[in-house]
Amino acid sequence: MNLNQAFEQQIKRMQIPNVDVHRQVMDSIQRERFAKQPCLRLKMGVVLSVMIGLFVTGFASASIYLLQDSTGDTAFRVQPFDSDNPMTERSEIEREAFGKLEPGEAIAVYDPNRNQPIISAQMKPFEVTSYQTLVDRVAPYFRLPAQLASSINFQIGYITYDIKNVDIEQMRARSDKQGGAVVYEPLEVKESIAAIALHMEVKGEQMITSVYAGEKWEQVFTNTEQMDEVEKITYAGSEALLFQREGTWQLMYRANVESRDHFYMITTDNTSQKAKDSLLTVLSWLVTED
Amino acid sequence: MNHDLNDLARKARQGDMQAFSDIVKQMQQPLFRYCYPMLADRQEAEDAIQDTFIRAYRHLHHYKDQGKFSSWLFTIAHRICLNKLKKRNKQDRLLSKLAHEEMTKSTHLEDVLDNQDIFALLYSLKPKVRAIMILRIVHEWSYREISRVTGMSESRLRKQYERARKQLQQEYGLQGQKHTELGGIKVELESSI
Repeated sequence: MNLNQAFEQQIKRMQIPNVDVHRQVMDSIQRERFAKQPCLRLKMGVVLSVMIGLFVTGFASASIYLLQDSTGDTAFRVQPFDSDNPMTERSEIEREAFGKLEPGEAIAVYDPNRNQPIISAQMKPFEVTSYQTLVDRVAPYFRLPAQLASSINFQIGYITYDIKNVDIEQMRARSDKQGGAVVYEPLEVKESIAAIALHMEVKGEQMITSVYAGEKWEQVFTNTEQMDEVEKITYAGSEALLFQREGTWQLMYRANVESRDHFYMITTDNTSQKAKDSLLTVLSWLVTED
Repeated sequence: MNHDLNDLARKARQGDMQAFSDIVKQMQQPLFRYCYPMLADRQEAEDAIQDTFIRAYRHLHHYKDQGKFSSWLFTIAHRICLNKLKKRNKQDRLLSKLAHEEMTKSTHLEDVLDNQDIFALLYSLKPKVRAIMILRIVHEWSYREISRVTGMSESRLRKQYERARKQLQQEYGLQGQKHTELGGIKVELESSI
């Protein structure tokens, strides 16, 4: 018997079970793409707005979209990143640091070696598997419908709390003292909620709805140059921005629900008409027309 | 299949999420057939392939059209596996996994090493050599293809492979005792050495 050949045959016979990580992978990617948790990027000494989007390509166009509320005032404006509000892709160092967080933990990262020294801060959100639990936990800050619509199947929810301020100068000083090293600072998390995200299936379409505390969202900086098929629609008297981007339909809308100011961003995972229709199904479920 | 995969990669790079979803569906099992024997730990192997896809997605813009997209994915998986292995206390992990690995409890074909035995023997090889054996034997890749993933020259791969065969031959002699302790190699195979 040729032993080596036999061993090779044995290895070939090794039994490898079937694996299915598709859902986990796509969920992770969707979460990254649509920044379910606010990513606060603080340029040296300047607090920047919360931003949407993770990738920057090409040159920003001059497109600015003004969306009106029911009184004719500007509810929010969507505009490209600019020099004061630049898009920055998260570095491997940041990803690694944030990846180690447990739910409820937050950290700031100061990396002086990037083109622009940046401090970024992030909290790992809590996961909630029951819709009712999500509604109850966010109730003081966010108003969600008491019941799911019959066409909506809730999958998982995420809750991100506000983070206490970062001491930028202290972190910079620490980095300087360590010869320009990357420095990290655990951060305290506030009781108030900054954002929630709902993953759901609507009539067979996968959707992610992010809801943010609306008062911070009068100005939305994003990759307008990547938007396609842009249109404004009016719902409950206020305008929403509907567009395609990166193979998805997305909808932005700002509304006051039971005295709470909410900014909504709803995203599909494809550009079909059915997916687009499902966006509106979700919006009409979230915000009831008077 | 690879033509289709490269096509999907191009679409995914242009932002087509459905294309990336198809890539995950198509490649998760082949990658698992690499990561699982590399790591000898099902959960870690699943984590490794998830990390592979997520990292691939983040760096899609780095993928150039020359070469197979599948090779590029395997290259990422290979590095992830090596990094995971570096972090381990090798001996502890092996003993622990041999004792607890769920799938290894079930398969005992006549005259055939069970998974536990095969994992143990593969694990006796250095990670980089183990990678060569898995890609060469399980995936039936050419040295040229393996070279793209490991970064080693084809001639060096051949040498490493032959050396590994010899080492495994020795392992057979040693494994009888080891496996008796672990409760397992078949008598027929021992006597054929």
